[in-house]
Amino acid sequence: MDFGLYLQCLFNALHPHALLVIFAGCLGGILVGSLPGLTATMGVALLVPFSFGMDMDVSIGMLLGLYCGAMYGGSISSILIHTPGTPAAAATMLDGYPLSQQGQASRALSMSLTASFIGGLLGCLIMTFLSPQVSIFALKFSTSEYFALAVFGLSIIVSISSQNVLKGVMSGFFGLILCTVGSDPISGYPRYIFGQMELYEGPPFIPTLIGLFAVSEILSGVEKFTAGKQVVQQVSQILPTMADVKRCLVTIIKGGVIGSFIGSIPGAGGDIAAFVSYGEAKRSSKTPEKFGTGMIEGVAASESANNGCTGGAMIPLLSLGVPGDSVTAILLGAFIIHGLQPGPLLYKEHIDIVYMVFASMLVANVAMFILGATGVKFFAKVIGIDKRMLLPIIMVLSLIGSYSMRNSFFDVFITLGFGVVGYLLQRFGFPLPPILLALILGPMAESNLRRTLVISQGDPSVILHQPIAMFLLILAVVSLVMSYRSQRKVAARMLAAKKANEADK
Amino acid sequence: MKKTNTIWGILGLLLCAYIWISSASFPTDAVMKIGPDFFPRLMATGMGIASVLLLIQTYSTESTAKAEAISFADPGIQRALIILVGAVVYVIVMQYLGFIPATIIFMMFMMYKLQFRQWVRMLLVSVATAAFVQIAFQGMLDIQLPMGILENFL
Repeated sequence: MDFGLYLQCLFNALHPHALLVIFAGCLGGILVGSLPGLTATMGVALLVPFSFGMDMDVSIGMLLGLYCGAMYGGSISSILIHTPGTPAAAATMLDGYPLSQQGQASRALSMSLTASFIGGLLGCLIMTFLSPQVSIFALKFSTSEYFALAVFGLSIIVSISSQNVLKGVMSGFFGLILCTVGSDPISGYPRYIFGQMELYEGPPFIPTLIGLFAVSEILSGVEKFTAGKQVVQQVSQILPTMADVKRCLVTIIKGGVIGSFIGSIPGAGGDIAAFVSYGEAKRSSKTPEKFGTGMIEGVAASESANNGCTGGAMIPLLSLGVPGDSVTAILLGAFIIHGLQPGPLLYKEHIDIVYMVFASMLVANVAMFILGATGVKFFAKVIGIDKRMLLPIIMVLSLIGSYSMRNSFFDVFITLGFGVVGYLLQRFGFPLPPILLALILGPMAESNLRRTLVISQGDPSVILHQPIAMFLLILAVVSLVMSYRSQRKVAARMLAAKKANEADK
Repeated sequence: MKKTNTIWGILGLLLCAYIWISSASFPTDAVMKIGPDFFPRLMATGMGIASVLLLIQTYSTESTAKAEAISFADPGIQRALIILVGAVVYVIVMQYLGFIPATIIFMMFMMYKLQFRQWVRMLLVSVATAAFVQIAFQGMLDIQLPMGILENFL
């Protein structure tokens, strides 16, 4: 670790212009996160077009600020109105909302901010020291291992993101088929472009994901829209009491570490991290029965984990070029747009950019804490914003964001088309994150598999002779089989409960 | 749920069949025998197997989940459909009318469809959004937005 370069990057991140952009990203993140229905993924997707005109290092700061801010912002609506702002804040709701009902919303919010901050810092530190080691290990990877890694990443997200594993698998394959649109990575032959040269490089990434994650949510919001204002509690306290900090410190540290490690598994995101950390806090508590009734440790555990996850998810992104979750999948897209390919070679060729990510992440966490502490009353009010004004604003930002990528109206229609596809898929229980990850990992899987087959003269069994690739493929199969079996168990239990209910009647 | 899962299973199989048939015309590498059709066909096969398994699962297990069918009589669906058509018209009209006027009209239309009736506030929000996007994209990020009829004035 070159501390001199790290300090130089930290100094650059503290430059007024960079700092302003990080704060702006963070503010946008907290706002997006706190508004139910607007996820961190959507926020980053909408913000990526704004980064085109900026320098790479400055735009990284903005996107990381948004990522950290949105993770914390999700807890605000979880606690105040019993609706998680982002999926990662669902676990926070379990104890945050009961606390709010007991008139202790300020206490829960202040703990959420502190836990998010400490968890985020821990994640950031773990990323800074661990990712270079992973990248050294990854330098030994050949095409077989990269193919296996892509399969593993996809299998994990399919396993965890869907109630119906088969529908998750279908989503994943749909995404993989989608990325075969465009030129063949080896021969350059155009596939499924229907004479549209705009599709030669594949479906445009940012317009596709703005459609899948923003327009689909808008359509869903418009469909389920009900008029009426949300009543939100008043917030006064901005920092937790020393007694609460002492009570939760161990839980927060544990949550931060759990979040970082879960985040570093390709495909596993903040929602899983938060629930695992919450489960651990409950298990190790002397009063586990009180969890779910308004235990401040419940808020601390889930918030420290989901923010710890932000640093963790950056580890596979930077060192392997494989995103840790949906948001980092978009960050990967942003890196590529700026002409950088994350992966082990990034540490050799652009170590300054890697250190800039480390430094920006640190500053983003501090910015999140400052904004959270000073603006919590404002954010609490924002939740009450009228959706009738909000939805049209997001629609315009979505469409113009996708236009700005190539100044192309074709891209805007792609966005609208994928908006409809995303809306329909979600409505019928098909998860969208596997499609997003497949769009990133698909080209990686195809090009590495094809290269492996070229080297082995068409013999696929060569993959099975590589221990790391074999291990990753076995893990992929095990995760899918296990989640399928657990899904069947849950379905059988639900059916038994339904029959018992009918018998009672 | 059975009906919708059946439809999705059949759609998956149709997609698989389409990929297999359409990729038959792709050129094959004379030496390697593996060409541009290899990966799409591999993925289509995966999609086909998953679709068959979904159909088997749908008919072999008793589901407790209720189907969320799409009914065009549902006011929510009608609203979403109108907004979608409005967005398509907005994108087309923007190319001729320009970003600012088209955005103001579209936003007011969308707010009206969402039962917002405070006209002054509607106008203010629409104008402010159009102005903000214009300044942010064109002024700060140097991304050209369609000017349309305002080309000679701005």
